[in-house]
Amino acid sequence: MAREPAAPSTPGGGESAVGERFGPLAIERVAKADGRALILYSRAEPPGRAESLGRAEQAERSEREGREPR
Amino acid sequence: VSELRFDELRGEQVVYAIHRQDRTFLPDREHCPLDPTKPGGPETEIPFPSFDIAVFDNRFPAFQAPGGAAEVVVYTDRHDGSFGGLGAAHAERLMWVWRHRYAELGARGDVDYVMIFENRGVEVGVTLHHPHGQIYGYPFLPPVPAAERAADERLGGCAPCELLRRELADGERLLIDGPDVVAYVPHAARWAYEAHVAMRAHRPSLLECEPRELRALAETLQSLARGYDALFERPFPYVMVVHQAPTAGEAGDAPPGAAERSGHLHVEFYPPLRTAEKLKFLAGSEQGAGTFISDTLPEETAVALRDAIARAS
Repeated sequence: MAREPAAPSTPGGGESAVGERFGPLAIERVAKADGRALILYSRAEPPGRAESLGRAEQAERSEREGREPR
Repeated sequence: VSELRFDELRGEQVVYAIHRQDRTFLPDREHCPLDPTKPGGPETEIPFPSFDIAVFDNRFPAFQAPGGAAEVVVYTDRHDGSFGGLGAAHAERLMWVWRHRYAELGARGDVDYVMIFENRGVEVGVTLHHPHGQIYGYPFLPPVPAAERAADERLGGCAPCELLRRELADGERLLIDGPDVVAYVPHAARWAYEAHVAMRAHRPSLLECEPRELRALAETLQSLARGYDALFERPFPYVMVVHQAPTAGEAGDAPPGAAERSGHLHVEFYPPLRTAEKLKFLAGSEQGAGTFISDTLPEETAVALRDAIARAS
């Protein structure tokens, strides 16, 4: 998933922390321009995880990857 | 900044958050602040062209540090949809997001109680249609978890454990009887189609759950949500609230896991519809006496809900 800000003015020079993990989640913290916190959660994919994906998750992945970018 | 005032007659706090009067109210489809930011378009709350699940500090908070927290949980970057319509793996990740927020907010010294919830439908006051929930970190123990703690004392142990045992023994109001998670219309439901989703094992919070239990919780919540939509063949409004252990100890603030762990993870749904078109209003008895008067029997609504869940599966 693209992580490039869509608007160049944001996150307003704030810090973006990448690499944090929590269970199956990858966490990215972004400081919004007005100082409020924004946390982006996504699926963390360690090596070999693809083999362990369940059917539902694989279907969801196909669905998401197949959609048009916004 | 909100102001707390204590209502001595009722023995409870009232929160004045007057800045919320001007919060965004039912914007048109093209100006949803919870959508991803389109390249070249106006900036939304999430300045990225796509995302999986996002959490941010509420722009119009009822609570904020150092007096609590108010966060928005955006379930998906798709504007149209619902909690029940999320992919199964996506919903499972949402359980982990809830767990993460409970852990982080609960560890804060200014948060005594973490409440994760979703208001769905204009009937319960939704101001944004994009699928999302909220989290309040209360700087005090609110009346409902305080009542649950009192129920523990009255029943001589974990009240939700005892109530689940009774529901399983009775069986008449069960909706979903899973190995890890059980859904039922409670014996003393206040709302016509009220339902509780409880962990079968004693789990004070999401933190104590095994990964398979989080998966089962997501599956059960989604099955129920889809069943609600099938009940009257319309998007079904509800308030969904995750009940967990308070995060403050008797002697002061303590991180989750270190304090007294009263509480039992369960999720309560409060749907305002009593028929396909009629709403239950909180009127004289409910507001003046605090006593609900229901037009339906839980045993009968449980039958209808069971059928609806079966139709939706």
